[in-house]
Amino acid sequence: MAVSKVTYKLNLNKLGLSEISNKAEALKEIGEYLKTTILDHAGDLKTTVKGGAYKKSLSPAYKKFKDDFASPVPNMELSGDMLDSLDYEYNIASGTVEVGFFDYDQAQKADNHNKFTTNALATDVPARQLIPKNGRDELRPEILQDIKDILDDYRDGASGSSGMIMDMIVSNLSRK
Amino acid sequence: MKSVKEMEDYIAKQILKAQDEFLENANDEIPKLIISQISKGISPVAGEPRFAEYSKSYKQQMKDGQLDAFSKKPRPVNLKLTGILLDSLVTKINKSRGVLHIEFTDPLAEIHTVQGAGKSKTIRKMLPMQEGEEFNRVITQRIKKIFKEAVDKYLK
Repeated sequence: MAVSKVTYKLNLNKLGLSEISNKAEALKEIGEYLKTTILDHAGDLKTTVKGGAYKKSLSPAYKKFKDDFASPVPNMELSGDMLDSLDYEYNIASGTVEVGFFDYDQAQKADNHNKFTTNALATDVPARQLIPKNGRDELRPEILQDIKDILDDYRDGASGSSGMIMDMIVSNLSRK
Repeated sequence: MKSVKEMEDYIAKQILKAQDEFLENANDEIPKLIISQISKGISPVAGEPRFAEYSKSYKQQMKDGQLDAFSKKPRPVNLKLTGILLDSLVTKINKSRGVLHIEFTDPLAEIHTVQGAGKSKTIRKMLPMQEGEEFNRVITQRIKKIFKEAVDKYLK
């Protein structure tokens, strides 16, 4: 049976979201971070999944085919439609961010690589896990740490944005 | 026992050391990260992370083999043909102002980032240049880490 979407839902309450007043901004920032980091990892031919699979080579036949349309490396980008469809949603009430492929057609492609369903497991498409599957996988520890750091910025009452850093740098630092 | 004035002077010096180290380390890492992301078709600017696809006419040029000398492909949209644009990234540290200046000197960068490229004036933001724009979250997190490392080294 085909999947309707291929997504990963992260519960931020477990990471301390409940202690933050500006939940919407924090969830949005984490969604943006996850989306960008998934794209970044795909470009580096890396999985975001702890211990996950990412085959770093293409079959000679597919490499030759792909070379007519795109860079002949396994960066998950042929037409670009699948990665273009990568998106996130957040829910303040449940304290969750859901990231992945919500578009039906793109979800089928994503499933083939992410191996969310038995259908996908049965195909000979190599595993390249862009996102974890809930109940089976976890995010890489360094990604989870970045998410915790983003939450910490909100917990401390800061804006959570990079503006904070620059404000700190330029304030009270006049040289004698 | 140190006086309050001595303590203040010490802390002020440590803050400046932390700032200098932050600027130097950011100068080492952030430009590489910017180029790496653009090369993967990712905008370094917060907002829409993927660069818009190339125009039909530009893709047709690639299909017709007119850009074969550059091995240009429709994907990823990496803003690289000759490489001159991406190679034009320069940085400058101003320690007295506490600023790391990052700039693409090739005029094409402003066309992509602000004016828009081609007939459709497609924007592909290469750097946060407009009021209120920021680097994307991955770059922001890296900047924060570099900053924290410098602060921890001199002020903990």
